[in-house]
Amino acid sequence: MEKMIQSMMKRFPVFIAMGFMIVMAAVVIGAVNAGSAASYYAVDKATRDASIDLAQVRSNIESIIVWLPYFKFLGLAMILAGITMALGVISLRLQELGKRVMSSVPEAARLALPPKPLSATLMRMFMMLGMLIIIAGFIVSLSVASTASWVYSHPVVEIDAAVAGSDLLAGLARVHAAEAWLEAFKFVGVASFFLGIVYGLRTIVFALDYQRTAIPQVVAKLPAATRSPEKASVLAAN
Amino acid sequence: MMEKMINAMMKRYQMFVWLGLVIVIVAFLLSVSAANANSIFFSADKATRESAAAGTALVVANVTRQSISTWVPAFKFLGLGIMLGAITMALGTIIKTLRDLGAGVMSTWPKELNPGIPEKPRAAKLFPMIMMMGWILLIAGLIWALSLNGVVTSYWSHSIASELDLAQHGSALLAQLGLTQFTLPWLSFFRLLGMAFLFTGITVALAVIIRTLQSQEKTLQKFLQALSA
Repeated sequence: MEKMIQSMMKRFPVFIAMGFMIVMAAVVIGAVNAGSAASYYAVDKATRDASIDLAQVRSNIESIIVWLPYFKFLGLAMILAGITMALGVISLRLQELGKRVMSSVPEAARLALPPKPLSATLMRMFMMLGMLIIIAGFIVSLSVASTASWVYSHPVVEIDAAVAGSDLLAGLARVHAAEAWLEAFKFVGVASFFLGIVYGLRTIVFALDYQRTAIPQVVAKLPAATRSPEKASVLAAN
Repeated sequence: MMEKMINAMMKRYQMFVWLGLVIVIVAFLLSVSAANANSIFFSADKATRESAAAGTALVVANVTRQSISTWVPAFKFLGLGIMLGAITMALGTIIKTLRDLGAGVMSTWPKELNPGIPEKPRAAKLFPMIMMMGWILLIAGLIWALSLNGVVTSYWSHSIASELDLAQHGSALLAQLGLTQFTLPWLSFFRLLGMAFLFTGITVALAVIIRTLQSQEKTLQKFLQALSA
């Protein structure tokens, strides 16, 4: 499991590239939708409110307005996941470097390496949680978008005349209610990623802090004869 | 003094990241109450909800949904801003640890080969200030949004059809609407500017880390050359 996660972490550029492609696709879809909206609002109000054909156009516009921001955030989430993974790779490299340096010093001067800090596990956990929240938000937004598509496929005059308790009004209420709470999904997801990044940085601080205290101890334990320039370079490079 | 205070604050980045998360979660809960208000408001047909008199459940629901959408985005962005500030602080802690690490390594070198710790770069003093500026903008945006909330609440607590739509030129109601429409883009500008400052702070902190590593590499090379000579 650990190995699988580590090999996945090393693929962080793939995640960043995928995220960037999703964001770009969202920009293109948004631009096309803006074009549709411009042609829809070019028609006078009385005609567009009564037309069934124009209602179909509005149905597409409103549906895209609902799901597109969550798709865009899915792209941003992949970029943030890529950044978190890159931090994971840095701390992994620091750990490997520490192991290599420690194995190159005489046994008498070696120090025990510390166990993996809790922050490394928390970093992965919050990254996964952020990803799950954003994916869940995107899936729910697709379902709300289908309701929005159905509601707005009716002419505006019909929607305005919908009576209390009708399916149409219930659908409209669902769309408006969802747009308030669904938005929070994006921010809680991004907040979880930020938390993951902070714990990724905490892991790096932990590794550097260990090196800061370990190097003088190792040097002090080294017999004078072994303090050759080559050994010094290995130690100092750490 | 200032330096010590900033260093002490930098170490508390974990506390700040959780504080930011709590704010974002509170904002999420407020959004749920806005969703409830939206459900109530849109459960009535258009004619009923627009003709509802002041003080009725429909008008109260409308006030709630308009009020929350006025100030909660500023509050939410403050939470995210505090989290970004925590990332900057963590980077600041890395910079300090790298500096201490360099000092620790150099203390093991012979005195004649020890060039001493280089002076702190200007960018290292700059990024905490950029971060603070971002926070100040986000807090100012939140205070402004909260003060606007009073105007928004007062405006929407009237009946749409019989009071708001009939408001005359120069009336207090239209002035309130004008003030709201004038302020909302400014609030959005404050949020984005605050976030831009925070991202700039992160970039400057990363640049300091890169410069520190480069400087350590150069010092090491010089040391090894001197040692082998």
